[in-house]
Amino acid sequence: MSRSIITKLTISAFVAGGLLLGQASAADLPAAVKALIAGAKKEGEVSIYGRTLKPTQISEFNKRLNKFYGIDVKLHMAGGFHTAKAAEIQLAVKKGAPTGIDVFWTSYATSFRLERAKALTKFDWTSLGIDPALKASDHGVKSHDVSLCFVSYNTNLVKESEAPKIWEDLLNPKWKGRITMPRSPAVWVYVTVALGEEKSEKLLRGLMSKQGIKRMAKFSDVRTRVANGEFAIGLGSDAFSLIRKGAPIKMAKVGPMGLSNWAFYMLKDVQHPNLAKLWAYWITTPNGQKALADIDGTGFTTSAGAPIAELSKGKKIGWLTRDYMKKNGRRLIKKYAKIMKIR
Amino acid sequence: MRLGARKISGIVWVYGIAFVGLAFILVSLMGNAVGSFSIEGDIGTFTLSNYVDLFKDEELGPVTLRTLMLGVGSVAVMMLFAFPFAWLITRTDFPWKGPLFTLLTAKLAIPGFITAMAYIWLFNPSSGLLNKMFNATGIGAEPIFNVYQLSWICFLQGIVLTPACVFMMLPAFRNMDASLEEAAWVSGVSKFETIRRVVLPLLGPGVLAATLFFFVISIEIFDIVALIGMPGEIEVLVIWIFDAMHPVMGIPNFGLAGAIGMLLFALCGVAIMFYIRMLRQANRYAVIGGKARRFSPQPLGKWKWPAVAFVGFWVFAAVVLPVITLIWVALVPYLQPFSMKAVESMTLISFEEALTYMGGPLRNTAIITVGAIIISITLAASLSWVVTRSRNRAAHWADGIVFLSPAVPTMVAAVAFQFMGISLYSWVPLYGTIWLIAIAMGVRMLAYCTRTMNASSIQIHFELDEVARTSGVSQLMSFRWIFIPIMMPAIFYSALMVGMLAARDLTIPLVMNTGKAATISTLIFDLQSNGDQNAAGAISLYMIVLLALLAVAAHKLTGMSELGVGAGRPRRRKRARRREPAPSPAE
Repeated sequence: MSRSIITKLTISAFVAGGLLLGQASAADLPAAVKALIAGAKKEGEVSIYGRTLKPTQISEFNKRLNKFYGIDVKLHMAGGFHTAKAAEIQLAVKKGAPTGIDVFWTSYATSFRLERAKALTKFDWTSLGIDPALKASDHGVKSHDVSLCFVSYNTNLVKESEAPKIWEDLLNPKWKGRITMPRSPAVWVYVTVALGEEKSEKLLRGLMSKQGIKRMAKFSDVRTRVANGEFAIGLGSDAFSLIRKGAPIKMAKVGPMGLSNWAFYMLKDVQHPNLAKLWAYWITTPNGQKALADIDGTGFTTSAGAPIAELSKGKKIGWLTRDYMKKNGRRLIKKYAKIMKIR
Repeated sequence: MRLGARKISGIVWVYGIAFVGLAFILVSLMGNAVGSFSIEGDIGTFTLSNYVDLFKDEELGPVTLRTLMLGVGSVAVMMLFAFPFAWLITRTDFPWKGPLFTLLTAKLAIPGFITAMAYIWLFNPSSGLLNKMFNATGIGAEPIFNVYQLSWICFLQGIVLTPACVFMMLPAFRNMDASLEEAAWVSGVSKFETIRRVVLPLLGPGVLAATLFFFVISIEIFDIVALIGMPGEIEVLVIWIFDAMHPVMGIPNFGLAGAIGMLLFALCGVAIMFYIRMLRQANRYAVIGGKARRFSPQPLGKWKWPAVAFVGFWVFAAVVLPVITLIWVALVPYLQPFSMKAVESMTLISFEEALTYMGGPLRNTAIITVGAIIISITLAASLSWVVTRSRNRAAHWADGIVFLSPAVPTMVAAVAFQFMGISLYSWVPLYGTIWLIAIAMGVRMLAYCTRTMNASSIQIHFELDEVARTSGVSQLMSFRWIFIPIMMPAIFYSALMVGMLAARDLTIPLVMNTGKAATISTLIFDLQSNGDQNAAGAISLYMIVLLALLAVAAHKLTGMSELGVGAGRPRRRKRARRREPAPSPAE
């Protein structure tokens, strides 16, 4: 058999396999989800605001979404400053101007503001067969677990055996002047749920006064500067994307971990509700979680293949829940901002 | 009488457009002012607490002083290069005017953070290349360079702002009456003395406008402060604005950011009052009359090579190092310092990837850029005419308001425009469109354009207006056929600057994009945030080449490439003669 025939047969087998897989996924859908597909096809597009992704990631999400439901729609995705966007949406809803966004993909903190402004659509996600544990208030559905207190290290500068294992290791004098973190008190709200308020405050004060910790404007600056060897240890940012590129950076398995969730929220003026629901439903499925892990390196701690699942294995986890955030978020932010001398 | 009424009604259009420009400026200024009296993010709820919080902060004094030092230091470095460059290009026989123009243009397209990144790699105390090389000599263990200092921020901001300042001053340099300089050097006055006693005083408003404008800009821009000031604990007011506007959790504190913005207004206010005073004495600087004034450029003589070396230093520090950094960033899979291992990992894949990413964003960027140029030039030309030619005292105050606008933090301005779009949506549905982004960007650049145009306009003698008026030419016709042609160099350089900055501005598109209007700058931001610095670097390089080529082409096509005094004028005079207005029946 010639090489070209083998190639053609292989491609055909992949295409047929892919089609079968897509059909199989759609066939297994709950009736309530299937009922949305016809409307979604008519809508043709959906706009999701929240994650900062590159074009190839967006088109890969788009491809997999279409494949899962056997549809052909356009996915628009954009990221930016969530808190400023929430303020804008609040006014747009008040004035009746269309926001142009169907789904806001964000943290609990931002969702509070949108809820208060009555800018969100109430929807019972369990009616689509989604696990009730994934509900985020009356509006949202959880998409993945996140942390703003990851610890990473440069593998050229730090041996794995020397990497921090517990939070207090960061106060070791050998790291003096060699740690960086974002100029954001949000990091310390996450540390608080992991470590408790008293210990977190002590740790932050120690890092500020004894370790000469260097602070960066953005979370992404932290991983970049650790990977290029300017700093040995980075606090706050994950480094999953750089690890995949082969950069000399690893995530330190520091425990306990502080985690929270991001969730999808449909806006009040959602223009493409069927697609918005299909998108959110898909992400909660194993197929969607695999897409998140493959494309964005994110997922639930329980999702197979998600880097965060591997990192959290065997670790004690403190959860930054909606209730905890609502009760303590503002107070903690103010307190840590003061220690960090942030206005 | 009917004829007179028609003449008056014509110029009303110019006043009308100027008024629209002023109204747009007021959107950001009022947004800032209203925000400063609002509780955190709830715009419109009155409070004085932001001012109370700001003024009771014991760090306010030192931080304000440091901010002033940052502004003064950056402007000093900038003027050290910009004034000689403008003089070399327009008044001398400097041999490489064309390449210098191209490099100045290319520099505008290089993001400021790339320049900062290059210097961090070289001079950071822990892993900076030059520190490592010094340590390898065994002379000392301590690093000899530390980039995390205020002086480095001033130096870097100074060299980054140089091209924009040169382009702001070029039109005034080109318009300056050559006979005064010629008279000085045929009388045996040295070149240095000629500059000090003839050139500088005549260019007073232009140089002062540039100095004040860039003082405001240098205390407001953030990219270099973010990369060097933050890790170096160099607290300045723009870091406080960043803290207020970019919380990862909670609500952006428009209130505190607005109050800090008002403090910046106050810092700039004194300088602006001085500038307005100078505008009132415009006649003292008028050097363009009705007579032709071509002259030969001054020979540099023995100063030619020192001038080349001086320009070469800036080119190396401001263009070569950042471009090498960008090329390096684009070639290696992730951001890393130079090493043999890194060299082995070099690949051109990012240049291929970049091309596949750029289509849609490039189209959006082109639309926004062209839109911003049209909006800013139209509004600025009208505003500049009203301010400098109408002899209306109130107009000078209007100009002061325009001058204040750069002190509004860019993000506050972007949010203000977004809020304006939402509020006016039922009448003008611009919110959520790319056009609102173009308007915001065009208006954001108005202060730059009006500074550039005012400096040129102030050089036009009022006798030209009077001759036109007594000849029965309407104000609108003299605006079209006298003011605009003489202002062409200023219009060209303003358009160039708006184009360059609009093509790479990030904050406004990032705040105002609802997901369907990705631009090249938001694309670069997205790529960087996801660890794809190499693709981001490749896109930046493509943009530098593209923008530099476009600028050089525009330069040649418009006749501005004939650098030097009087260059380009004959062509405009011919056109003006061809389209000379018909004599008025009143004559």
